[in-house]
Amino acid sequence: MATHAAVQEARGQAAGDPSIVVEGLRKSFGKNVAVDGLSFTVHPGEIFGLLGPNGAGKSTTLSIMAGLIRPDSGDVKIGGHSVIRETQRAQRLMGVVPQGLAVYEELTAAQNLDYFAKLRGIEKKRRRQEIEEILELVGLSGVAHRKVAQYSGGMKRRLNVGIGLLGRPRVLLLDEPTVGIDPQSRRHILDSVRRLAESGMAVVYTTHYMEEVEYLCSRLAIIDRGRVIAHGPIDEVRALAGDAVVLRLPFPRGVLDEAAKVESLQNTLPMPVEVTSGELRIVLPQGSRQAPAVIEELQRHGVPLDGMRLESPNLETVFLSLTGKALRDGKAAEEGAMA
Amino acid sequence: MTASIRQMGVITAHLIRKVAFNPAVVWLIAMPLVIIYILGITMHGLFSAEFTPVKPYRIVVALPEEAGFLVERISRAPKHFAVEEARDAQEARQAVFQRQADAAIVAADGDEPLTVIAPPGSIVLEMLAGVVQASLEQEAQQVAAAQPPVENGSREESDTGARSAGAADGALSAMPWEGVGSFEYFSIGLIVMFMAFASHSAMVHCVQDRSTGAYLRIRALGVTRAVYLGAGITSGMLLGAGFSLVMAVITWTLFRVVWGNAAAWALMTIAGAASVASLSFLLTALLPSDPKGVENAGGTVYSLLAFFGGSTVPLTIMPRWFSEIFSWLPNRKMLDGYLKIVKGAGVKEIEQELFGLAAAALIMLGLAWLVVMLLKREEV
Ligand SMILES: Nc1ncnc2c1ncn2[C@@H]1O[C@H](COP(=O)(O)OP(=O)(O)O)[C@@H](O)[C@H]1O
Ligand SMILES: [Mg+2]
Repeated sequence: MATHAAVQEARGQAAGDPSIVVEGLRKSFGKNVAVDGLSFTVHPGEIFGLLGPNGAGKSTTLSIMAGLIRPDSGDVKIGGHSVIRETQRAQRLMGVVPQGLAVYEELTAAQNLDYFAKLRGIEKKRRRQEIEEILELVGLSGVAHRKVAQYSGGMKRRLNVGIGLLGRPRVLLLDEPTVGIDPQSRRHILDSVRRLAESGMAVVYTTHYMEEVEYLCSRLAIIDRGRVIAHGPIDEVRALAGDAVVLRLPFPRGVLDEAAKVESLQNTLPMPVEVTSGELRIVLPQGSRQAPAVIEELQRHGVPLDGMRLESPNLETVFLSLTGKALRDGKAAEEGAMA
Repeated sequence: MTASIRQMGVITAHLIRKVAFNPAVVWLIAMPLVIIYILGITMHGLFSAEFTPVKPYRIVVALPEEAGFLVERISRAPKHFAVEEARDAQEARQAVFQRQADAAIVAADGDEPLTVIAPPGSIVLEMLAGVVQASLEQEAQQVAAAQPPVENGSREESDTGARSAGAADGALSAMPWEGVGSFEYFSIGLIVMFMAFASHSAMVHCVQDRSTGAYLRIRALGVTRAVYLGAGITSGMLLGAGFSLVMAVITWTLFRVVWGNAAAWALMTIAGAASVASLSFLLTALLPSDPKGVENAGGTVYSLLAFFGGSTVPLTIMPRWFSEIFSWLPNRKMLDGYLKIVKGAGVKEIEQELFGLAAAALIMLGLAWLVVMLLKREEV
């Protein structure tokens, strides 16, 4: 994973000018600030992650980037063209995959692609060829002439992504393209996106699944209620949790005289100590080198150390430590589990 | 520019295909046909070409000498009216109240020359009121025309010459449905009503595009908002007009409805389709982007319009004041226009309806555009 990100970054830097420049984007709906000062750049071959919970402002950002909504301030340049002043030129360089299933159920996959290809103005001969390529890429060649209504959720999602690839865009904007689908289809989509980036496309990938960003992206921004709370290469963002690691060990009831022990631990140890659902969690702000001292203290209190482990920080931890809340609710978290 | 036109063509074709190749289109055509059939049969007796009461209506009159022409007029339709003279207004009134007569015409005291007394909303009241009003107008015209006697004769001639013998009186022709059978009437009424539904379904698909994200996708492909809205309205118009054409052919085949002058019919259909498409656009502009909600709102609005505009409740049985209040409705204008065409009118005679519909379409388009600019401000 780390190598994938590193390769991407190297590719990005080698490619020179960024494909996407987002600068100081701001947009409110009445008093509700949907996007509050978002800036980032994406180079060819790079996948940039926009990670945030529902209502964070991801879709609004993409609508602005696609030229549909005018920002209150800031600008987006696609291949050097402003989406505000040269909307159509900028649009010609990008493909968009909306959050909703923007496909027509009563048409076949091929007909869906054909409709949008016509709107894009791709002429007939190239249209047929491109549609075949895309169907191949998203793995729907075998069912291209079946009505979309008969597809599974995952197949519809793959078609949704495929339509965004019409016209061989240099920039691809994806808005939560894997919501509510089976693990195989998810894997298929993620791998397709990776391959597209490898071929030189600049990708913006929005999601509320931390694992997807970890898998795909070299750089990301974490946003919450329009605000950027973390931004940068994935390792740097992860490091925002500091060197912190979390020491976790099972803490079954009855093993200890809990309340008193925990209170005593909290008093003696200089770091946060937490007990949740049968588990003791101690955050080590300076990393694992603090572990020996803590373990010693635990032993002194007579806490059994069976099953103890150190957890390196992930994006979820970062989000948690920066906003004080979970990235997603339980149900979404289950869906988010990778295959 | 050419790209915009091409895009508009692609979207329009797509929207039309979505409606026309949808199973729901069977209902759109079958439903009005069934209703036309049922109403055509059950309401057969109500339409003037065939309509004569089982027994003539008994009319009691108490009128001064000068109004003799009126009595004479009414007596000229013995199948419809049997006239008796009463001693005075009081007696005439009593006759109606005691149901010895169906209606009375009495001289009034005030400025009004006379009063017609009959149960409110009754057919006899409508018929009698029509005859009385028309006779009074004609009498007044003749008095006026008597002074410069130059161009008198021709008008009189054309007026009587053109009328079929079936009507109770020349005066009855003042009513728009005169000379139209029930199948013709309801074919027109139901086509006018369902044309709106056909047209509206294009807009419902546009709203659906918004809710799925297809709209975002289409816009991101370089389609401007104006092009997309233009395609929506155009497909609404074409669907309305196409529906009308299909139904004209079917009603001619099934019910022998003769649709009259083709040019007049075509112009009427285009103007009508423009007005329904604009209304549908206005409705969607006012409502939040929820396809189900927009569909239901259309159903409600068009059913109400059909009711007030004479599509489902025929003008024949509508109280005259009621039908006059709503005569400005675009769907009523369409109904009136088609009625005239079926009776043999050419383009010239329906000019008024055509202008009315075109004006209505322009006003609604303008309003809708304003609403879009105000309510959907966020969008570029
Ligand atoms: N057209 C709109 N009008 C008003 N408020 C909106 C509109 N679109 C989005 N919002 C608001 O902006 C915020 C961000 O929404 P969105 O961009 O959809 O978030 P996300 O995609 O991250 O879930 C939300 O509070 C949402 O209610
Ligand atoms: Mg969203």
